[in-house]
Amino acid sequence: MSSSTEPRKVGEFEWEIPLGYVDGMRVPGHIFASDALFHKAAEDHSIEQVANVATLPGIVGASYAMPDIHWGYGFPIGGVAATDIAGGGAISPGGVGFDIGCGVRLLRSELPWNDIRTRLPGIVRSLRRMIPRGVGGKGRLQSGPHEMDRVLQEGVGYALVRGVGWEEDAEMTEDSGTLAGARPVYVSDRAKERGGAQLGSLGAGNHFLEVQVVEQILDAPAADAMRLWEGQVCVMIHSGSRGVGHQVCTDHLKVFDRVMGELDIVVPDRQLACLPVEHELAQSYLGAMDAAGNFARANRHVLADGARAAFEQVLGAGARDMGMATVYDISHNLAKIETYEVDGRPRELCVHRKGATRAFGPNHPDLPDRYARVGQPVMVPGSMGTASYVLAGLEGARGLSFSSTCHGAGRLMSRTKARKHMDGHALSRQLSSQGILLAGSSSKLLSEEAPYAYKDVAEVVAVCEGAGLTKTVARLRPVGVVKG
Amino acid sequence: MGSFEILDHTADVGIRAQGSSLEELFEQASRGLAEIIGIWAPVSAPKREGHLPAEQIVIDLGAKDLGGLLVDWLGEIVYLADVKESLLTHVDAEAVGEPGGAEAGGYTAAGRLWLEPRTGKQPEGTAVKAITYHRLKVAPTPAGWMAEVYVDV
Repeated sequence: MSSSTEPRKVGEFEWEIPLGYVDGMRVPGHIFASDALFHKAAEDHSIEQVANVATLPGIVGASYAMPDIHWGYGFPIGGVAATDIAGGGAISPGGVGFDIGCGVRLLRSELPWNDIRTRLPGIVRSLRRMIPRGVGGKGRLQSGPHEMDRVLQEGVGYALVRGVGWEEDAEMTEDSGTLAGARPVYVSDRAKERGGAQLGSLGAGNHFLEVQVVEQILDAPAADAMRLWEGQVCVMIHSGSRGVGHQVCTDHLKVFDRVMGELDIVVPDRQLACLPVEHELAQSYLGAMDAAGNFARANRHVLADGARAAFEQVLGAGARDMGMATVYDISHNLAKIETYEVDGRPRELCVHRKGATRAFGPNHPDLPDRYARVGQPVMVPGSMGTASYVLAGLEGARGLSFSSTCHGAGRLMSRTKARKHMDGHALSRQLSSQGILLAGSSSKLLSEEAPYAYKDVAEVVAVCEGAGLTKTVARLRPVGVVKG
Repeated sequence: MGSFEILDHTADVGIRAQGSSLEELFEQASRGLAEIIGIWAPVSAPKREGHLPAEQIVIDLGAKDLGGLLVDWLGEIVYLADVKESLLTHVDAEAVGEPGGAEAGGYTAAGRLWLEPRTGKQPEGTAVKAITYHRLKVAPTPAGWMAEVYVDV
């Protein structure tokens, strides 16, 4: 017999974690998952983490988790939590994570795969030279201390001033490439120092740059608006704010951890340290978080410039002539102030998305005109060597998940287990036999990021569609992979 | 003699360290972290003395409790790994757990890290973004002290 606080299935793709699953829950937990994905999530601590998040002061609706949920630190990866600001709602730096503003940019092209497939080895070699990566990799665009403040303040706008990228890239980036709330003054010297040399570098871990081919269009009107077609070559970039964001989170978390106790706020996991959004120190964090978010966007923007340069070098044509425009650029680790109707009236909420992607439906005022009719593009990177997806936001998700959807495949296996499963060289050979060229910096890292260490991304996006969060627009398969 | 082991976590990595004293505990946890990042290159004391160009980084920290102190201590290594192209050759935790810090109601830690410039290729380790408070533990044991700490990779 299960007790009344045990998780229960409440819809085809929905599970509820009732109040009382952990002490202090203010709202239930709500997980979007198929039976199989839910049972995988139940194998580690992720369900407990969904319940822990439900204790945050001012949380409304539910503590949500997307189908790619897995065990994180504090928040589960795939977690979404909205707090009511006027009602004392809190912000938790752990609900954004250390890689503030981490996300995905997708570049399209006018290149048919069949026309350039023989040039792929050259393109991957060139990307390998152009794209700094790995532990402590130095970036493409060096900036001194004063310029660093401008990167943090202006995001993509700064890179454009430096002559990097195209004006229209900014329009196709969330918030037009610049988070207006950025306050570089709340970013420590140490954070600026960590990030100063890293603008335009991939980083390590699950970050990548991939040459992909659109394999299948699943929603023609949305694909038309995004100018995606079967057989088209694209470039997907997954990276974040590098050392800047890591240090911003570290610095502010330490302060939150101390001050929270003085305000008698109690959370079940120290990593969930939080303060009311209106608290002065929470405002400082938000200003620093937005600044790191700007760095992340500028970083992907500079990386995209490197990708264009690599294609230009090998194919001998200009990136504009090859149509290498930005489809969209969106974060999946960020907190944003957004307005939703709660209990019948509009409220200003602080929406944390930790490994979850904002997915606005059609006609949202924040979308570029191009996507007004079809909804916001969402890029879902698959694990290395497997398909990635492009989704589109749906209006109905406003009431289901505060307009949020999944962000990736979601890890299934720890890095240690993945390494034991197959070594990097064998994996590299296997991918190559599938026609995927790999340029990674370490055999150990390759084995840690192997496809079998992740959930099936196809199932994840199918659940998002089944649950009404997003619709699936296109599937892309990798042909060339540059790993961190 | 202290020791450390790596703990499994779906997305991240944990370190469990043991030591007969808090100093040894911090040294072992540091070593565990440096091995994860791929920058651990121990150099023995006699060699270290005459070994140039080595760099000593002085650590002097305070926090409200021992767990927070360990997070901050390890955070110094994460920071150094990002900004210096160096290997960590020795960790000397000189005094850990003295009263002070976090407005004097907490504890302090003092010590030194020895770095050496790394030449050639990038470390074959896992880039560590930060030290987390998730499931953080520092506790006395019959033989001394133990700690568990998870790092974001």
